[in-house]
Amino acid sequence: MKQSLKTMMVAAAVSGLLSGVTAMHASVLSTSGTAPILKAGKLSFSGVNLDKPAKHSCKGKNDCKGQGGCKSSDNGCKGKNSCKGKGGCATDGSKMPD
Amino acid sequence: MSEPASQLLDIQRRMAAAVMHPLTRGETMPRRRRDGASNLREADAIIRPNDRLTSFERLEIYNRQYWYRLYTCFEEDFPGLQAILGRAKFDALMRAYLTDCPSESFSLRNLGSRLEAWLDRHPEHLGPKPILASDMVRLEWAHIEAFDSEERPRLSAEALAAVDENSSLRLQPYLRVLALSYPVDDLLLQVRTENGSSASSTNNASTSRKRRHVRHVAALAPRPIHLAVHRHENSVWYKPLSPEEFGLLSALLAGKPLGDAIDLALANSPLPEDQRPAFLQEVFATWAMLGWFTT
Repeated sequence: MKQSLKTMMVAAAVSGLLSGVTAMHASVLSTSGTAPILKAGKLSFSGVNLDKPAKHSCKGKNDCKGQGGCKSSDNGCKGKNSCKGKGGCATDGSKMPD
Repeated sequence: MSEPASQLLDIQRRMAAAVMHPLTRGETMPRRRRDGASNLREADAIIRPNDRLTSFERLEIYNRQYWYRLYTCFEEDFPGLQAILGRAKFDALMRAYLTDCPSESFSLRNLGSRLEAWLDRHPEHLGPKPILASDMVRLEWAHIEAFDSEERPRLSAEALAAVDENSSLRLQPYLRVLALSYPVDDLLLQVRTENGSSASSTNNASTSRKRRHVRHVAALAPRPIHLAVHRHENSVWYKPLSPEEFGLLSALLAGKPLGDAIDLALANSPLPEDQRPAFLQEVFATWAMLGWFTT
């Protein structure tokens, strides 16, 4: 690739990075970190229009089981010994001590 | 180590060995272990019987519960693979894999970490559509990685000032890129939706719908598909990528400097040269907004 063309493309990439990082920070500031910035396959960052769902959409949110619990509840408990129904692990039929 | 502590450690190790030993095909504790040791004698040595259960029966409860917990976790992590293989083949794969690659981590999150490599050595478990099944395994593992891998501080505007063609841009550890042959992302979303709604429909109907989804995808001719699996606001997302985007991200993830990554990604691209700067500007802006670049 010619150096001049390469320089132009690197400049374009850096320009994109800059606009993206700036928009990201602006969005975080304007939403105070509470409102979602990515919704149902559309990106909407303040000041930058990237509403091209077909190309940019993050297809299909993986809501997993039971809404909200998502994988966080699935994976979150794996390291723990959370026996179902408490005391379910007793081998002799006795109840867990309080 | 003092004598009581040493004895306790010995008992703990013997207990762990008994509990983690694979079950029989009938899902009971084997009388004899694979090394020939007697579980009956071992149980008598470390577990007291009571008036209802023998030592062996008491130990067997733990042995079975341990494996049932692994099975449940594995099934939760690979519902797409189960939908593709069907219950019987999936069960056979799961048991063979967990026997060869038992849990070695403090967290069962890592249970499937060796599945892809294990399947390379055991392709007989991939069923009649091995590429489809293999694609699904890669996507499902990427999903787990994207779900809880570290998120590093995002790249600041100040840090960008120093970026040039020789810079190596770091990407978030939770970002995974995949080159696949089937649209398993669509299939997995359908399977997960079915699993999530199974409480309100019959199992048979749900299984039948999942089979239909699998048949539909399996009938497609394989074609290259590129995907980013990432996390945004605590949800995992699948983002379709163009071949150029995939090439760029793969090169950056491999640590290539920005200039080289662009060269590599666009070397064989049909994208006209005059459109390339705009393309690069757009994709880097999108990825930066998604917070994929990190310090």
